[in-house]
Parts: sequence; C-alpha cells; structure tokens
Amino acid sequence: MPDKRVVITGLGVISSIGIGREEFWPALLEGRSGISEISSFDTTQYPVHFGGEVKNFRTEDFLSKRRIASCGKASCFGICAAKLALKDAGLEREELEAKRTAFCIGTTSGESQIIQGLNYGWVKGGGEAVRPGLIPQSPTNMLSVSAGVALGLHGPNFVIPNACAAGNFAIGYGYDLLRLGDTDLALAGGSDAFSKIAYTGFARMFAIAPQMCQPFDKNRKGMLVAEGAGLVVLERLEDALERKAPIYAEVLGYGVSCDARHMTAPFADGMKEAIENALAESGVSPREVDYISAHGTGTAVNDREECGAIKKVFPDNYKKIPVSSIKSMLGHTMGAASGIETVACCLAIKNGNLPPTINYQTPDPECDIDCVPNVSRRHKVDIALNNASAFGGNNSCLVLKRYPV
Amino acid sequence: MGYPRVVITGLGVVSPNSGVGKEAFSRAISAGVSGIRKISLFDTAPYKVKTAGEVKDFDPQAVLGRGGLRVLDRGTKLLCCAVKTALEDARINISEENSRTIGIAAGNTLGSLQSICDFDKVALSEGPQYVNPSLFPNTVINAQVSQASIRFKIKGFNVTISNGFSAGLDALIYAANFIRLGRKKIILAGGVEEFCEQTFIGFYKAGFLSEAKEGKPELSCPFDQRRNGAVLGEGAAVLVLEELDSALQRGARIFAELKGGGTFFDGSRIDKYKRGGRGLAFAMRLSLEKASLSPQGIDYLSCGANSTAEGDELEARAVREVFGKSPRMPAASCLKSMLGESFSAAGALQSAAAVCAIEKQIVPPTLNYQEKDPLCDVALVTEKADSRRVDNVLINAFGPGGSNTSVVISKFTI
Amino acid sequence: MQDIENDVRCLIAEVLEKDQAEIKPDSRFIEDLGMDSLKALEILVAVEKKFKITIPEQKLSELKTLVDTVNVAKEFLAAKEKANAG
Repeated sequence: MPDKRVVITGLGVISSIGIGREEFWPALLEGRSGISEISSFDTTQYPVHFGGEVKNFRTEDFLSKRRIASCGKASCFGICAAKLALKDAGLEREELEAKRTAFCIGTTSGESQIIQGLNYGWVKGGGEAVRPGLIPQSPTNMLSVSAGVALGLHGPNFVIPNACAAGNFAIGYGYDLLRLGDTDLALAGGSDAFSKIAYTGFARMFAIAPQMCQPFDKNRKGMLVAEGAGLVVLERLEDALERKAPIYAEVLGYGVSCDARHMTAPFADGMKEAIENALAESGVSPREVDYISAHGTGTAVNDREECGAIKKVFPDNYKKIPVSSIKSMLGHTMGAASGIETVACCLAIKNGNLPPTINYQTPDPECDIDCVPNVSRRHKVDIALNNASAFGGNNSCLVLKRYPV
Repeated sequence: MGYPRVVITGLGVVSPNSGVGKEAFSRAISAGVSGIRKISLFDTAPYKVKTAGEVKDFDPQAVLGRGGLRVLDRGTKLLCCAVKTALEDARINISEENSRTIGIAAGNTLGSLQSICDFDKVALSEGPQYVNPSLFPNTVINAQVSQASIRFKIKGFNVTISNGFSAGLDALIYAANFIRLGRKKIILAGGVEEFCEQTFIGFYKAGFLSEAKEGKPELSCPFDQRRNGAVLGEGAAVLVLEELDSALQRGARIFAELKGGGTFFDGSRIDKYKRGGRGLAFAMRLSLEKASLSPQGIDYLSCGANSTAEGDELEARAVREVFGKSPRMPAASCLKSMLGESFSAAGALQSAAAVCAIEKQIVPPTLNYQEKDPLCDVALVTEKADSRRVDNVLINAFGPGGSNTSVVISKFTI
Repeated sequence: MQDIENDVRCLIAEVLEKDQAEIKPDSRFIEDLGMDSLKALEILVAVEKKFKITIPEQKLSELKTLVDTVNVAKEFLAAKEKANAG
C-alpha cells in the first residue's frame, strides 16, 4: 500500500467576500456577508431575489482577453483560482513544464451560463439560432481542458461533477493520484458560476431563503445560491520539504458514501458513513477532531440531518467540537463549496482561528452543536474535517492535519 | 507493488448495434453489424446530416420494469439497463450487507444537456413558477450515475467523470484506483451518453460531423482516405471491476483483468486536435508500463479514431511512435465504425468489446474501410473479424482539447 | 366542482404512478401512495399550473390527501376569482 504523504502548499479562492486568501480570510473572520441582490439576470418572476454573486472580480487581471473570450465563467473562475494557488505555493509556470500536474475540478453545473446562452437561442429561434461560437465552451470537460491549456499542464485532467460535494471528491482524487505516484503535483478543488437553472430549481423547491442564510438556527429559511471557486495545490510531503514550500496542512484521507435513497433529500446515516470512512482511512479517532467545517446549507433538512450525523459519530464530545458553516457568509457556492471550505480549513489550521456561523439568532434543539455563533474564535486546530453532501445522495468528508504538529 | 489486482467479473452493454445485453453485443461486434442508421429521435429536415448510432427501439421498461421510470432521462435509462445486466452477469445481489462495499463510477459529459435545456425551456416560455421540481435533479451533471446508484441501492459511492472523449476510460481508471487503494471491493465502472438534438446541434454546428458532400459520403470510416467527420452515437457500457480476492472468494467468473491505465493531457486549444501531439503516445506507454507489457505484448489495439481527419491521423502517428512500423503493429480495429462516436460512452464500449474479444479470441472488424490513407498506416482488421490469439488489448480514447487515455485489458491468468 | 376533483386526481395519479382508481379521496399520499418530498412539490406545481393559481409554501404540508389537495385548489381558485372580479 502507498506510504506517500500528501500536503497542501497553496490556496486559491475566488469568492463574493474576497479574491485570494489574503482578502478571503480576514473577511471570513470578520463575519462579512457576500450576499447581495442578484444582478446577472432578472429575478422579477421569482419569489426570492438574493444570492452570492462574485461582484468584485476582474478576470482581466488574471487572463488575456483572448483566453476570457474562449472560456465560460466556471472555467475562468477555476483557472484564476488555480493561478492564485500556484502563486501562493511559490510555483512558476516553468516549473510545471517539467512535472506531471494533475488538474481535478469539481462542479455542480459546469458551464451553465454558456448552456443557458445556447438554449436561449434554441428556445427562441430553433436550431439555426444557436450561436456556434459558444458551443466548444459548453461541455463540462472544458473546466479542466481550458485550465490545462491555459496553464500548460501535462498529466491527469479530470472533471468530477459530483454536485455540491464535488470539490471534496476532486481534492480526494488529486490526493489519490499523488499517493499512487500517477502525478507529481495536483491542482484540485471546485468551481461554479452562478446558475439561473439551479436558482430556478431551488426556488421552486422553496429551498431558497429570502435574504439571509442561517445555518443551524431554529428559524433558518433555506440556502442561498452562490458562485466562486476554491482550489489547492497538493504535493508529496518530500517534494514540498525539498523545495521549502509553505505547508498549510497534510491530507490524511477522505471518506465517501452514497445514501442510495433520494436524489435531493439528505440523510444522517449516509453522512455518518462518510465521516466514519474518512476517520478510518486517516487513522484518526473521534476524540482527536478539533474542528468541523460543516456542509451547513441552511435548509431545515440538511442542518438537522448533518447534526444528526455528527451526534452519531461523536456521541460523547459533539458539543465540544466547533462546527461552523461559512455558507452563512458566502451562500452555497455549489461544486465550489467544498473547495472553498478546504481553503478555510487550511487557514483555520495555519492561523488558529475559526470562522463563525453568522446570522445565528435562535438555538435549535435539533442542532445543539457549537456552531461558533456570529463571532470568530481563537482555537488551535490539529485535525479538521470538511463535510460536503450533494444531490444524488453523495456524502464526503476530507480530513486535514496540522503539519508539523 | 502490493496493490490488489483488479479483475472484470461482469459486463452490461446497451449499444446501437445490439440493444441491451452482453451476448448480443459480443455477437454484433464479431459479425461487424453497424448500428448507424437514419436518425429517428428528432426531425433532421433542417440539417444536412441524417444518420447516427441510436439505440433503436430502446425499451427500458422491458429491462427495468414499469415503476420509477417516469422522470428519468434517456441517458439514465441507458445506464440503468447496463448496470442491471452487468450485475446479473456478475451474479451480484446488492443487499444491506454488501451495499457499502460497492460503488459506481461512470463517464458522462453531455448527459444532462437535454434535461437542462428542457427544464430551462419551461422557465423561459411558461415562467419559472411552472418548472417541474421532479425534473430539477436531472439538471445536475451527476444525475444519471446518481439515479443509477439510487435505483440499485449502491451505497459505496457514486461518481461521475466528465472528461469528454476519454471519460469512459478515465472512469475505469478512477474505479480501479479506488479498488487498489482498498476503499471498495466492487465498482461498476463505465460510461454513458445519450443521443439528443441538442448534442447533435452542438457537434453539427461545430463542423465535427460527417456529411454527404461532393465526393464524400456521410460515413464513419476511420483511417479511410474518404473520412470527413464523425457520426454520433450513444450507449452505455458498465464493467464490474472487482478486487481479485473478492472475486475468488465469492467464486465469481473472471472474464478479464484490468491491467493498467495511463492518462496524459497535452492540449493547446480547447477545441482542436493537437497537431503532432504526443500525449496519446505517452498515455499508451504509461498504460503499457502499468501493465508490465512491452508494445509487442499487445494483440489487439482498440483505436479511438472517429473518422475525423485530424483525430485519426493523430492516433495513427501515436501508434507508429509506440509500436514502430507495420510488421510490429498489433491488429487494430475501430469500434466507432459500427457504433459512431459516443463521447463519454465510447471508451467504456471499447472496453466491453475488449472483454468480448478476449473471450472469443477475435479482433472485431473495422467497417467501411476502402481507401488507404498513407498518413494513417495502422494494421487494421477490416471487413470481417480476425480469429487470433487475443491476450492483451490496448484501448485508446482521446479528443480535441488534449485529453488522452489508454487502458490495458488482459486475459486473466491466476 | 366534480371536474376539479377529477383533474386533481388525474395529476396525482400521474405523479405517484398509480391508477386513478387507487387515488381514493382519503388515501394518504405518503403512507398509502408512496409520495416523497419531491413528488409533493411536483403535485403542488402541477395543481398551480393546471388552475393558474399560486399556492404558498405553508400549504405544502397540508397536501396530504386528494380531499386536502382539492380543497387547497378550490381555496386559491376562489381567491383568484374574487381578485379578478374585484
């Protein structure tokens, strides 16, 4: 069996509250909300109007005009987050030329804005009205292909669209490829552009909150659709040490499971299974866990089931483990969420601070965890778990450890 | 290395030339039956292209029963039929006891496209209030694989790999890695892609498809001088990958072994085959290395060539680079001459064909081959199947954009 | 009014994949007919679409049987007619 240790040495994040870890982390600790009125399309016909759009991001600062014109927004987000992560890791493009670099990206909706653009022509004018220029940008594999092209990567190139747990699945697979010796370096995480289709669906399911995402609050009213990207640089410990790279955390392992019950409803048992698989693979006991970054979408059902899972895995100490949801600030960035949350876990480990769950007002007896309500907290984190669940009964949990302890 | 070996203990196929089932598929590819005919799923009057590899008269109810099919899209039904027949072939009953040790990983890139467009169409034409909530889950890209995991109670995990043309093979590698790392015992791995008008329009407008024009037939004729584009296809193939010990313990029939795979991205344009690209040769070498085989060990080369001018030439060059000139080349064949280009399903269908070829000891023929192209000099088996020793099959899948993957499937010997 | 009941029964039978005869006025959607959360939403939307009404979220949990559903449909149809008349 493989004995290669894998560490995270670079972080890249595009979010509604900050671009790059330097902006992102203080904003998270401050409890800043990235929620605003939706501007990318007209919401007049919808009962709800708020979301987590990324509004202060200039793609031109990162990519050439030609590149931007050839890629959809989800691809652009992914490439830019990858560039930030590489810079953070102190890796130059030239160094990548000589390495096999895997690119593993998760997403929920792929290039949804491009598909919407194509479909608009289709619906309004039939096949002939479809704009050919957008076609090459529309398939989901463009998220990794465009990044591979833009960054000159050689190696495994994967899109894992496991919906809202996709980031964890992608980071997990990057970790696997490094352990197996199938790549020298991996860029992994998730990306999603604001999807009108996702918004329409969640709105129709009465799953969207009017204005505020309130995970674990008794009066929580739902999730908020958002966008962004979070990617990390993964490499083998020995390589990171040799090039004296900054090490944020070690990846100890991950666990996945499938409820196999329902496309949309989450279940505590499946989440529990993923967490337990993750702990088993990592050789970590429930007593050692210092922080859990929750899936915490703010819907009545998710938060209840997730807390149920946490109570089952940590029956004795669940009230003592801080569990926060940064979706309270960002909304639900879909396939990007667990990528961005991995970035947050790394920074929590590195800096000894926990991001809060904002908008918390009324305790819910069904969610009697310590959700780090409203204000950030100093807290030493040696072991962090990152939970993510998704449509299709997907559950996942990533285990990160301080390095060196 | 000490990793567990990964064997193939079951096969489920839904293919344009044979419908549902492994035996029918095995017979059809041996006999060189074409699945390409006039498109029936939509009206082709507005388009110059008229043919595709549709799974004709597809009747999911006959395989899956009546219940629970109402909101499933075509791709999901294709995949579910492949999964069901694969489980039957492998003699696996999924129960509360074994469910958590079984996972599913399948390639699928465009499968939700029709569902997304239909859902969005209601919002655009009738208003967002009137979209059907039950159809919303079909708009996520993992819908088809996830629906299959729900239907068959697969609790280990479900993963979708959206790597485009190489997705089917990439899903096999992903699944094999999960087994090698000891996470699961059994993984249903493969690919699925449905044929629909939206996908068709995309490839059509991008100029990717073969169409009848002066001196050129509308034809899937890989490596042939007359080739002028791909003919689209659809289908699903699922291989039951199993840890060797698990297979031996339960007395499973072992049809073949997945020896290794290699993937190597080398794109320089998102939508173009890379001229002179060496990624596919790297992928082939990587998979040979993983399988501990020399190029001479390969008996059957299952090409990914899809009848596009650039793609076929790229593969022929890569094959020459790895194998050398003609006498040293393995017998090669292109399944897409029978089935068309089915994108994420293609590599999985080729892998299923490889298992059948090992079982029958044949190399299936490449249809429609008439005019030699000096730039595409491969040792192609044409017209009819070649009966010969087939121990090791090398399978290629690659696409414009730069994804390249190869997998080696071999006869199993303990 | 009988027509409303027939229309609603027809919608429900389709969503729950049952014969119309199985949808008795007081058959319980969840316990007797196998409805889940997504199908509940689908029924709500189907009724909205059929009668061009809007049913608020709070009413979702009230849709437990055919009778309940018909009553909710009638309530909002009446409200719509009143609004149109006004």
